[in-house]
Amino acid sequence: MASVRNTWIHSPAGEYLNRLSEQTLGREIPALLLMVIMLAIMLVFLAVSALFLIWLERKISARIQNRMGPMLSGPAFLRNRSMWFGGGFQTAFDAIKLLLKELIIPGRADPVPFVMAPVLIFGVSVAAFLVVPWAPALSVADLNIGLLYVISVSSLTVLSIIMAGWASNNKYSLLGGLRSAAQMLSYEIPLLFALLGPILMAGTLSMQGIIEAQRELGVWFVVPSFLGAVIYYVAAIAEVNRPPFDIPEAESELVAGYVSEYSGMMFAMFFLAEFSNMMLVSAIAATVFFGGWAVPFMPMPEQPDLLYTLIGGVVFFMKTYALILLMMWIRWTFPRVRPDHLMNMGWKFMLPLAFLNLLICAGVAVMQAEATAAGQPVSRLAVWLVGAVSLAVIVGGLSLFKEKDRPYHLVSAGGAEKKE
Amino acid sequence: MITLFHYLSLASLLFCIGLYGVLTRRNAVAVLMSLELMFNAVNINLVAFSHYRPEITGLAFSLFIIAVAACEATVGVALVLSVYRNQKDIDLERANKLRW
Amino acid sequence: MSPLLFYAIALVIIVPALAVVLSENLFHAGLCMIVSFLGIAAIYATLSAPFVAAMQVLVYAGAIAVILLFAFMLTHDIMQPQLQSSRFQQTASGVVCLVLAGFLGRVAMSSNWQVLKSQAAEGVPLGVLGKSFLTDYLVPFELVSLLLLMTLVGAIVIARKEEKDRAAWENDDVAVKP
Repeated sequence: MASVRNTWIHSPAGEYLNRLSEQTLGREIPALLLMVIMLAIMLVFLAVSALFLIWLERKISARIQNRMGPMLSGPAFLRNRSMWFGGGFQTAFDAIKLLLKELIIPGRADPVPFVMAPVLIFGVSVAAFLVVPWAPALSVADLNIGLLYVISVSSLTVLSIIMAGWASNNKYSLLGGLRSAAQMLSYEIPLLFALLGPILMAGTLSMQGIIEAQRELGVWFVVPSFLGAVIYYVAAIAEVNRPPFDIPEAESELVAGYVSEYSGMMFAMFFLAEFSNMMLVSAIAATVFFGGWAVPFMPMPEQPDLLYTLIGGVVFFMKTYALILLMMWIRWTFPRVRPDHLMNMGWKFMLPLAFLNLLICAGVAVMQAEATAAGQPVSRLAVWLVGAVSLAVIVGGLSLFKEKDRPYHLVSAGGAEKKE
Repeated sequence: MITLFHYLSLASLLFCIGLYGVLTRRNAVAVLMSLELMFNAVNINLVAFSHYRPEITGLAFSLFIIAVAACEATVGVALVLSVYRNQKDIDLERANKLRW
Repeated sequence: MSPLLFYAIALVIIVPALAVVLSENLFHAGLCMIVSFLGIAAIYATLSAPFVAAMQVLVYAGAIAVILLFAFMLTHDIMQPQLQSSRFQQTASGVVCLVLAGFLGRVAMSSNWQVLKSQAAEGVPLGVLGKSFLTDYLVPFELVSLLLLMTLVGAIVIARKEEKDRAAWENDDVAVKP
């Protein structure tokens, strides 16, 4: 599966900073200080990009709904004149407002879980960003088990939601928290299975290694594993509780779900965590399925090259933001999915398809193994054919689903099942 | 200098704390939580031995134990819910109908 | 690895474990159990077993802890005070556990474990572990998968509502789902 792998891209970003400081200051940065600097850069970057994403979401939702979005909060000469700069400071003002609000802890609420829940959910999000490969040789740490680390750390968000729901001492929060936990737990499994396909084809769990494997194969993993990419994306939307899977935060149904009792900065933490989780799953999808920072038709230099690194970083950002835009577009297009439909779809529909995807990717892995044994590169035609089969399976399968065959049944209020 | 003995003593301490919980607690869910602590102590033992000797058996079996502990927690919770539905109470002192 | 790090992680494991077995509030016990699990994952990372550490976080802290918290939330009665065992039972259990801990420590100290190296270099590469699952440990692997299937089916069957309650709901005889 894996032949010779280029190794300079696996070095962590700290080494880059070390080399810079050696050239400019003449000595190395101590390890602890290096960790603190990298963490600070990561936090600042996450906060700024989450703010930017919130503003982007408001503008895009506005254009989809044929309105303008925030227009009045910029400098005076831009207000109500420019669509894309008129509301520029809106998110900053919202952030200041949330910072200045009083932090209310309800009287009967359990104070320790109540306060720790937003801390945990944002901390988990930051921790998961440690292995995201922003550019060659620019991931904060390129762990050998990078992808597994991200999955296991993201599974701690379920705990934070349960803590928030229970500690609020409010039955609507509790219901929202339990529903969200059930939804996130049931969609973690198709997510994992969809990622198993590319792991098989890449032969490694490290994020930079998966990108290298895509360069070697010659095609992005979305081609042979298109089914897996679709399953991963839908499961990821369910994981971050985005609409159309946002029953836990359904604004019109459960007050605000598990964040009903939160105010001020704690609410802002939940909000920030949602947007940074959205960026995290898009970044992982871009890495695993869409080639990460790899640019088609551009050969990788043997030595660390600044220009290549910068181009790689820009390409990675573009891919991630394209997927985020797709997520926002989906949000404002589809109606909310009912909870029992959601669970049905997760367990009975997506899990079998994920198994099928695993079989298809195992086929490609066998082709890779044979090609390595024979000393030739894998035939690209074969991989594209596999991709066409994947696409045919999903399109054909979906089009064969008639009204009566859906994996959920329409149940009327009287309790009788209709299966016409 | 951290030797194998440190890890073994940590594991035995954790095991005994879990054992105290299993022997003492009256709530069934609390007993299940203490039981998980005991499983984890055994796991620390296995992984420590796998680190200090050139063996892979410890790692492999620790993964099996994690899987088995998940199964046991699931079935335990199902039983607890079933008991709760019948007697509205999961106090282990009162679950004595089969005593004689 | 420095002794300071080991003792810090050991503190993170043992103190919440004490809270699990001694705490009155079961929700706090559950949360302390999760902290203990994360500490144990850190121990696995120091023992050059990153895969087991990731599995510990994913399965224990991410799934088993959630199951136990769900069980607690579904069976919690706020009207009932938290029950405690009798003094005699607590003392006897404490004595037994201390004796056992001392005994295990003595055995660990005085045995010749034939440690071949004091610090392992890298840890087992993941491919070797995976291959061993399919060659040396194939039988336990298959048995565990069978066990997981049985658990899935068995847990659903045990925890399902009874037939008469479901029939009553579906025939509109009951106003509230039992």
